[in-house]
Amino acid sequence: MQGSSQRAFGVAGGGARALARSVLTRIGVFFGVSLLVFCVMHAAPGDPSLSVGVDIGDVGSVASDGARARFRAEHLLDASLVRQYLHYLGPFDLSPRGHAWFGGTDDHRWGGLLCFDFGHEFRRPTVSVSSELARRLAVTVPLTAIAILLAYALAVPLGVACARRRGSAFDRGTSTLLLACFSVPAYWAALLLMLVFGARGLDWLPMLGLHDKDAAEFGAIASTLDLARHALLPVVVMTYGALAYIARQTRAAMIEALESDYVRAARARGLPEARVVWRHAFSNALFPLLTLAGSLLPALVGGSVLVESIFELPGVGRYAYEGFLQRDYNVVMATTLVSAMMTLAGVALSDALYAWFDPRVRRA
Amino acid sequence: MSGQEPRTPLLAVRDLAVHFDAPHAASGVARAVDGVGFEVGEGEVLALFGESGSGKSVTARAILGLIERPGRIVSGSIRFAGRELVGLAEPDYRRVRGREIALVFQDPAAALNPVLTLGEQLCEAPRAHLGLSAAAATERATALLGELGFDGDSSWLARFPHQLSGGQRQRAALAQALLCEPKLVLADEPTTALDPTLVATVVELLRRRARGVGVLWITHDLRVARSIARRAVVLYAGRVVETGPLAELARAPRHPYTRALFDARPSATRRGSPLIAPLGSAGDPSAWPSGCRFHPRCPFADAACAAVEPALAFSLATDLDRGVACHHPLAGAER
Repeated sequence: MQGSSQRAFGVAGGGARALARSVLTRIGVFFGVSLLVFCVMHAAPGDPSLSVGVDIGDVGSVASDGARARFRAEHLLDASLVRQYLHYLGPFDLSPRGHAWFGGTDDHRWGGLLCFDFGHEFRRPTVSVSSELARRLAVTVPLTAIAILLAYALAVPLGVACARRRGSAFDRGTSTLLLACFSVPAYWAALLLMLVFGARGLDWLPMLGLHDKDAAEFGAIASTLDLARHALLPVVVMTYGALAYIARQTRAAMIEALESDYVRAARARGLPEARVVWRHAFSNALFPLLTLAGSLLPALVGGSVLVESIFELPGVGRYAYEGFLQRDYNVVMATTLVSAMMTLAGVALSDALYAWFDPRVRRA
Repeated sequence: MSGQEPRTPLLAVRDLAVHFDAPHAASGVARAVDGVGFEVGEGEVLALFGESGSGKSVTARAILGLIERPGRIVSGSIRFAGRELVGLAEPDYRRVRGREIALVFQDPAAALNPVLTLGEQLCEAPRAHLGLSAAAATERATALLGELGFDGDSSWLARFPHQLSGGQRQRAALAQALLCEPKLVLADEPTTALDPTLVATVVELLRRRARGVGVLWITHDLRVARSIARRAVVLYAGRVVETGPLAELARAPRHPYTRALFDARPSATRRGSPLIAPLGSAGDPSAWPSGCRFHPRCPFADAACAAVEPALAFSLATDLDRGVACHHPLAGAER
């Protein structure tokens, strides 16, 4: 092998340079997204001062004009957009509380986005967005991960089975079903499932939240079971669309692979069917599915806004929804940026998987 | 070769018919191969000639038992080394495929899987068919690659197809097909992508490794076939129109179609004979012409040609090997 692999893959240094370039690009994209979201958010009607002294949900009611003006000044809401964005980026505090250099009254400093500090919630100034976000992620990430794994675990064998029996009754039936699944909106499916399995229907499953109200008194097994029962419907709702999509893509990719010359050649060499299908065909059909994995992650995170709101789960999606409702700029920024980071991570992950599986991309 | 006592041929195809369901055609069925018969003897190279759509590749797939829905073998027999292959159970067929009958592809390099190492895809068939250990299979693969002009170290087996040159890929693909030392090789139009010196190497290699190996050389280029095959079978529209020694077919074709094939190459020495329709598609396999399928393009066709399908007749008087399916064979008309 000596030297040959390097000849084929170019100089070894190329890998490090490409890696550095892709990391820098992603950092640029990240801040680009932050700027874009910041501008769009400020262009939207209303601002956080509307909810001063108001409970969640009753946007735009009573609060004295004085209190509102104080709030606006404190949070720089009347400053130029540039100043507000620079303030958000940090690390200097450009608000009236900030450093004298920037027109402030004391030398208060804060972290800002550059220090991965998302600030405090506007409505509850004692709550740091980062720590709240961490609590919310602990709900959303496991649910999303389970949904993705479940979707792949079910969709891939289904898609392969359809491709192998292309045109059969099984294939036509499954394809129709998958198309139907893919077309059904998640909120509709969620409501339907709640209606059927919830208290008004069969009453098999709890409808809202993640825990029973008495969960604190449960033992380990009972509370795990309780959690599973609560998570079942949300996971189903998060899974079925992705499952349908992955299965359809798997079917298409497998049909193409099964018709390729190398698969026909493998068959003509009398190899066992399982080897022909999985080793020869599937190893090539895999690549579109890896690309899919990168785009699925952000789609599921986006979908979690809906699912978590409907099922009242304390996840990132619901946090984003609350943030939008109250125009809590810091919450909106944080949840959007986390979602952007997940998108970038998803793309990076699918790139890495690609490189791992495809010898034509792999570097020596 | 002639004059010996009759023996079982390596491969005997009789009256093979492969039809495909064609729900959108008026007849509902595409008769891609419709009564094809020929024999390949041990050590013989037979050229199976036909234009695209004549059924030659479907014939090859039928021999390997790889006809899939909506296609099916509706009649005929394929006997290989005295054993009937039509209707053979799939597990038994799998032991024939690759081990006893190998397929070399139109573009042999396309037979290589781009994401597997050469070692994996070369060694898998010997391991599956011959029960070789990984080490023995590797040794065997390295040896064959060496014979095919790869310098003899096993590092080639660690490479992926994209790390080879085009010619190396072709030879690796040949090695892949031939590692189990098959008795019969189906070469599906190998000349389109394979350079002729390599073709000669392959035939030479096959002869050296296994004396009795037969080759069915499926091609649309009779010029290359002449350098390799002694006998040829000419297919047109799913049927055999003429068969015989290739040199005889070239010298004195009896079927107008065969003559058209050779006429398609201009000759400086021949004048005055009517030029027969240039090559083209034989038409729609779900609606072949009535009678002789060549009659719409044949300058000698008459009412009988449009009405009655001619049978393949062997002219016993002159040459046992020669057969022609024509109502008006070009008797003795030398080119």
